[in-house]
Amino acid sequence: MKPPREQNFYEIFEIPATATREQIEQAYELAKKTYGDASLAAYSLFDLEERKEIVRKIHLAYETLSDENRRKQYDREIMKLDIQETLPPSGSAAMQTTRGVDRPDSSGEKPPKSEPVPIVIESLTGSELRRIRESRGIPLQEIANKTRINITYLEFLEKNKYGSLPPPVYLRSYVLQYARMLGLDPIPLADRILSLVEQAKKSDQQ
Amino acid sequence: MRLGDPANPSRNEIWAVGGGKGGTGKSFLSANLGIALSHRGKRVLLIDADLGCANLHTCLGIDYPEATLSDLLKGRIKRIEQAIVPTGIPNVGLISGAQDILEVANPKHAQKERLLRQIQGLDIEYIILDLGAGTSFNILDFFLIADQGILAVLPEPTSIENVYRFIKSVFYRRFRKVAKEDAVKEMIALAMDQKNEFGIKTPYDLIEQVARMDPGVGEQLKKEMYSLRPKLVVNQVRSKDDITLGFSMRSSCAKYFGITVEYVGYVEHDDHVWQATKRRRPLLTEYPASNAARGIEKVAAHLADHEQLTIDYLVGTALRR
Repeated sequence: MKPPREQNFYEIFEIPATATREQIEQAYELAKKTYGDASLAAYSLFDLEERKEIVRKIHLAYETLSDENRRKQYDREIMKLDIQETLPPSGSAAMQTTRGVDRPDSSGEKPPKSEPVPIVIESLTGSELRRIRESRGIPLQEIANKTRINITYLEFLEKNKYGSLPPPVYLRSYVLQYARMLGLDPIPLADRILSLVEQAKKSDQQ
Repeated sequence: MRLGDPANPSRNEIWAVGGGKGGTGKSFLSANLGIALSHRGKRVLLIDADLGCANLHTCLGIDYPEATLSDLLKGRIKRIEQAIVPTGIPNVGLISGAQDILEVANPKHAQKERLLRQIQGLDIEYIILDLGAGTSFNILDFFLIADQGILAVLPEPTSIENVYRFIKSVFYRRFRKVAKEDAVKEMIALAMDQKNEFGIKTPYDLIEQVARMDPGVGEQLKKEMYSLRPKLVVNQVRSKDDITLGFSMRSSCAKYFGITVEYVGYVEHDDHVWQATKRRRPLLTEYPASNAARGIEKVAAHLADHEQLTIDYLVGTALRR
């Protein structure tokens, strides 16, 4: 088992990836009761902030899994993430495969469509994040509404305009929230974005 | 975790009933689970392991048990069979708890081991240990020794908090036994203090911290963590929300401790329990058709068959009134 912050939508509901619509509904009702304000079971283990975070993830999980199309997309994405976890950390090689989906590389070797492709967070860019977000059917406005992050910043992020982003101390928490909305591993993504900001700053100075 | 002779084929199953707080129905559950098992054709021995405050015999209507666990631990009785008193219920025997001698409340490790070996040698299918309130090492050790550790909880905040505290204590007790190095042991002791300098709040944090010190021990702790599967019984249930509590606690434990708690059932709040207790008679013999009695029969069945409740159980569940 993983800590809640690392759990995917199925894990947060403690249901199998093959769960029926009915099972998802039941799990959602139970999760709301378990981690909601009036909960007797959770308050002494999780503080208010942690419970809020779990509840936010529960709602997001439900919105995604209860919509057949979004669930299908999500399933494809977590399949990719699962495979990524089992792969040795070889950033550059894996990155080529990631790119291969949308833009086959010059050698013309295109991986078959059915083959899941890993996302390597350590080498992601803002525009690639946009593609991942779109592939999951999550509108940018929805992220802005839910996280209360100014949509302009989210647009800067997705347009690779790292120099225009807010200072790291704010940015870090923004990226953590953004990552969670996309179901990506938050901490490595925050590290990645902050390092991109750092690089942008350096090249500006040169 | 179990000691004993692997060559001994008559392996009985040990259940331990604990849960931190007093008054959650540990003795009530122990006695009646035993009777429920006897209804299933099993031979059962109840042991009052509440060494400081024994009263399981009272739940069974026995005034003065002739022999007690302290006689056995003190060596006044040589063989465990001599300590077993009849309960008047077919196939259910009792070893009553120590009542008088305070020092017995803290038996030495060797004494506990000897007792366990003797228990395991008995030709009895189920042994039920009624643990006392609290989280003393004795109680935690008996809980860890058992094949099935059962937690009795009431649907109220204090009881729930104590069950969590109990689980946490069980964890760290077991972790300390796995850890050999002093530095790791110290880290585990530190983790018990919620405000420790390492920011260790959950067993996950602890395991991560330990893994940084010693990856091998980290892995071992993880394994130990997964092998703990306490069973939960919600007692004195009055509403559907109270039933749901068992599922909610199961979920919270999975997220916080990373362990599987199995929700094996609930017992309804029922005046028959109070009436039976006042008469010092077990519920299952006095009012076998009562709602509470039927709840206990179900809990016993789930435990014996290694099953638990699933959330679809909640659909359409209404308390029989």
